[in-house]
Amino acid sequence: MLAYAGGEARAFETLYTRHRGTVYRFLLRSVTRRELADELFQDTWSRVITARDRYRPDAKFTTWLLQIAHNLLIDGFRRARPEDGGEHAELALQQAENDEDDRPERVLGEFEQSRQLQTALARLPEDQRSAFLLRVENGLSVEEIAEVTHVGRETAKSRLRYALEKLREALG
Amino acid sequence: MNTPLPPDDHDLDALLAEDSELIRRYRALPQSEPGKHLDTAILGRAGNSVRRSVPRPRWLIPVASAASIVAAAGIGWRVHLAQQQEQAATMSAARDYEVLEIDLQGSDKRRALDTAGMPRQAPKQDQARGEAAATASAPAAAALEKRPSLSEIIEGPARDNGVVVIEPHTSNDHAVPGRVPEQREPLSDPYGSGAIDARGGRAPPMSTAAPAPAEAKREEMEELRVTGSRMRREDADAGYDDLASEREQMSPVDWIDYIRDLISARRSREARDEVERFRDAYPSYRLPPDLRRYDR
Repeated sequence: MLAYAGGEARAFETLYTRHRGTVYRFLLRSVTRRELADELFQDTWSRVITARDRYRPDAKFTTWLLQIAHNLLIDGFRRARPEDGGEHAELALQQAENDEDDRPERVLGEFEQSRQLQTALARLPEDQRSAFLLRVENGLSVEEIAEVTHVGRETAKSRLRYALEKLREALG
Repeated sequence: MNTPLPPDDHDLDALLAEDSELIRRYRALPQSEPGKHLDTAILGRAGNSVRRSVPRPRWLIPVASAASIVAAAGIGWRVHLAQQQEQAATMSAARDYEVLEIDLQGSDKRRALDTAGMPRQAPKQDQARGEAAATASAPAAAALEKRPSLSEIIEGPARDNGVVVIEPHTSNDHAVPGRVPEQREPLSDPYGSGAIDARGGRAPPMSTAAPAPAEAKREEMEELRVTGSRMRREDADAGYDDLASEREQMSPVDWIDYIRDLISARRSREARDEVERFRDAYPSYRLPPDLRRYDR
């Protein structure tokens, strides 16, 4: 990021290539609607580009990037209330390509399980879903989750624990 | 909902390990990626942003600032020096002017100066010095104002269309008769005069004759006519002849001392002339060894 702030355009390409997938999936599984995820994804990277001169390497770039994405997500949630009930998640899941094993029974079973998980995720409260996604999708520690979501460590840990319990219950 | 976990809760990693099946299912979800249009748009914007703002070298601002400070300090120092030089020149001019006044006051001889014609004929530099002394040096100017003016001091008997007639400086000007102390001083002056003319230059030749009434001396000495800054040639020659007779009236020892003074002042040509003149006056006198090489 410092290299990009110094004017190296290729440094940005490296960053983007490394983080594009995880950031996009964090947003997509948070909002479930692809067009909204696209919009938030573009906004996230636009903010990175704009704020490159102000970037200070006090924290990991991943944490800083996800903080921007999470803030935009919260703003998007506030604008989009009431929340959808998981219908968009199911639609997105149906549209997604599946590279899994192509046996029909297995494909059907895996697809059903994914659909259930996607629906359960969509029904989680925002803060618990974010904590779960930041942990499982982006691999952040509890401390990093707390930093990204602007809460204390214990609160972040509690959110994560409740999210895991609810998902386990939903998946039987 | 966000209540902290109880203290006896097991570690989060262990909890996640228990949910390995959940995590496996999550990993099995489609690995969605942003579309190509998003990649193109974002990378294009990043590249444009970099091109728009070409970063300036980090050293540019400090170096430019330092250069500006140095330049400003240099200009300030030059201005300060120029002011100091100007002040010094002004003070020097005032001092010269004051010395001139004092010299004129100290002399009880009558010197005729055409003070009215002097500023017209004096060089511009002297005029500027006089003006500077009058304007820039307030204390000196005030002191000068308290004194009698030049025209009051000088009783000029001869005013002849700007021609200044200056009487010679004689031994009567000095406390010790018979010996004019200025004879030692005028090493830089072939006329041997310690007086200063109106322009700050040396006055005409003086007499080294024995004490005599001023009027008689005046008749003996030729007048030196000065027009502005120039001395008439015939009068100068006459003054030089006077100088010869002046030397001849010296004792040989004094004359030799005078020649030595000329030598130490590196006025070799004049020293040779004096030696020659000495030879003419005292042909039988044996020259000291150090003067023999000046004997032609």
